[in-house]
Amino acid sequence: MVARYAAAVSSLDARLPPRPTRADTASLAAIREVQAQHAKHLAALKSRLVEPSGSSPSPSPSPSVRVTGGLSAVLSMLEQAEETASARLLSQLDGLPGSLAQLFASVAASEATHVPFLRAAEQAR
Amino acid sequence: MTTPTTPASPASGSGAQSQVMAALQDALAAEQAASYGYGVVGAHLPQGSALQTAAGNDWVVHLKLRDDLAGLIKARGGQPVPAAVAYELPVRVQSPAQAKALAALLEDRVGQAYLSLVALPEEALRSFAAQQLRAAALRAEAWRGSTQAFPGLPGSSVRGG
Repeated sequence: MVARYAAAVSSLDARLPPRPTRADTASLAAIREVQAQHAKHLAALKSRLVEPSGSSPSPSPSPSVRVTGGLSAVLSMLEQAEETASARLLSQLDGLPGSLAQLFASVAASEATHVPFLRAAEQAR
Repeated sequence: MTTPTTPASPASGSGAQSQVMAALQDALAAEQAASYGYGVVGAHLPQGSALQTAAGNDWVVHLKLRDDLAGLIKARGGQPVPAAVAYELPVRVQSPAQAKALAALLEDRVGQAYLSLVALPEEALRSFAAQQLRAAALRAEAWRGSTQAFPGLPGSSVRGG
């Protein structure tokens, strides 16, 4: 999700007109706000997950994320990704230690809330 | 919504069962408080407005969850904690904006209670509680108009990187 949002922000930044509308600016701000929350999710998950011994200290390459279309298309793509990510986390709760299950559930809940938040940004345009 | 109906696993010890019961009672208490609080929320929203309708709908959700949790507690041989006659509200409510803030806070507290249930190993309860945390976070987002990175978790307990 972090890579997806970074690609979205980069793509939209590059395509914004010299004088973006207030609605476009607000939508981009909403996307950045959610991007920041995903960065927090990633940091929290990394701090709880134990890396296997012998793993490379260098970060693994980010998956390539292709972002196409205008702001509405990007918002729709992000909303779909949020729904998928939230459902995936909720499906992985069984057998987890309690504190990790709590983190997964909390992140899943946060991701679910990103959908109406992004949708509101889209509808405000 | 799916409410777990499966009884406790025979392998579960009495210590684990008392933890489950305590977490269920906490969730019930949070739902009772939310049920009370939404009455205050609705009373401070414009009569007949969409916001008041939304508060009414959320109130009904909490009444249903309150009853579901009481049923779960009884099914496990427990006695549901009684609701208080009145509750001290976390914020003073004299305006629609304050009513919306109270609704968001009520949802935050309900979410925290469900997150305690998520920590327990019983799969059906964990799944139920995670779904309810998600639902509470969605309602909080609707009232607040913003999202939180870690619904249900105290901010200090999550530190990134």
